[in-house]
Amino acid sequence: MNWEHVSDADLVKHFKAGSSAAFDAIVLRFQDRIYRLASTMLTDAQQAADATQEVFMRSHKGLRTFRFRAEPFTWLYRTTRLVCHEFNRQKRAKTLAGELADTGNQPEALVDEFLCATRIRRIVSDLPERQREVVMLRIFEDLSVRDTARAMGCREGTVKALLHKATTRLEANLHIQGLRGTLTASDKSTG
Amino acid sequence: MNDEFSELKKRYRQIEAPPHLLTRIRANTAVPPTRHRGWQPVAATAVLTAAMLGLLPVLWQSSSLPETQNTRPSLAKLAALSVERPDVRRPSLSQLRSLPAPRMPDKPVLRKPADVDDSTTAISKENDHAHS
Repeated sequence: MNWEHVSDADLVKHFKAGSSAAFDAIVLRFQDRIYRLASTMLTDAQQAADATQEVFMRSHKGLRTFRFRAEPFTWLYRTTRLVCHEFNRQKRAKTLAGELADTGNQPEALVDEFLCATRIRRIVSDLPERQREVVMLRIFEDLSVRDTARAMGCREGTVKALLHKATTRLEANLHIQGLRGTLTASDKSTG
Repeated sequence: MNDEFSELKKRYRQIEAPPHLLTRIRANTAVPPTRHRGWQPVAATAVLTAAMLGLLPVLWQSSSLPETQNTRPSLAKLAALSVERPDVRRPSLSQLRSLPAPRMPDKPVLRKPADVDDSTTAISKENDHAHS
């Protein structure tokens, strides 16, 4: 069965009905996005891969009882955020205990891709958490205002307000010209 | 700088998940949850052992009876059994019939109302408001 034209909600419905192929389709559809988000939340490329795997492991169990009160991506995004927080907490505990993470043996391909994510993480690190989320989802993941609001569990007006504050701050910090104008135009087209 | 930011965004969107991620997820989700069932044989053995230990005294008692003791009486002995009757004189039927009935007690005599002293129950007419 070709799952490309099946909506996210229908994919989850098929998975709940017992289709393992539907779960594979869910993984293939969202794995890149989840990995990118995890890469900006974590400081280690291998950890980001592990976190992505953990998110889908939890989704294999969690989506069986999904009640469709929100979009499936909302559930995945919040799980990603939770898993990354847990990974960061474990890493802090290990660092305090003197167990330094060995980041020298990572695959080169992972490191190359991770450099971009690392740079983005540094750019948005100065922002408050909610503004950071809006920037990642709205600007970098190119979600609509509506989908961003659903993922964050807030209203569309809140998303716009947070985005305005975030871009103002980014412009001030990075001297990015015309960024706000570009976003306003995209809001109108995809809002 | 805006071009740089756009380039950064473009590179970000090109980031892909590690290869074989789906294979690893399949492998981990296909494994059934490990349930530790090692306690079940041990528990079953303990229950059986306790049951055997509980039955052992009963089995020992039944096996310790001497074989010479004949616990089953023969038919001849059963027939020779007789019930010992107590030595009590039984009254005859005529004696039972002639037994006199016990005397009934005297009929109770009610006290006449005239014997009752009205002075103790007399109600002063002055205080009798019921009929006022």
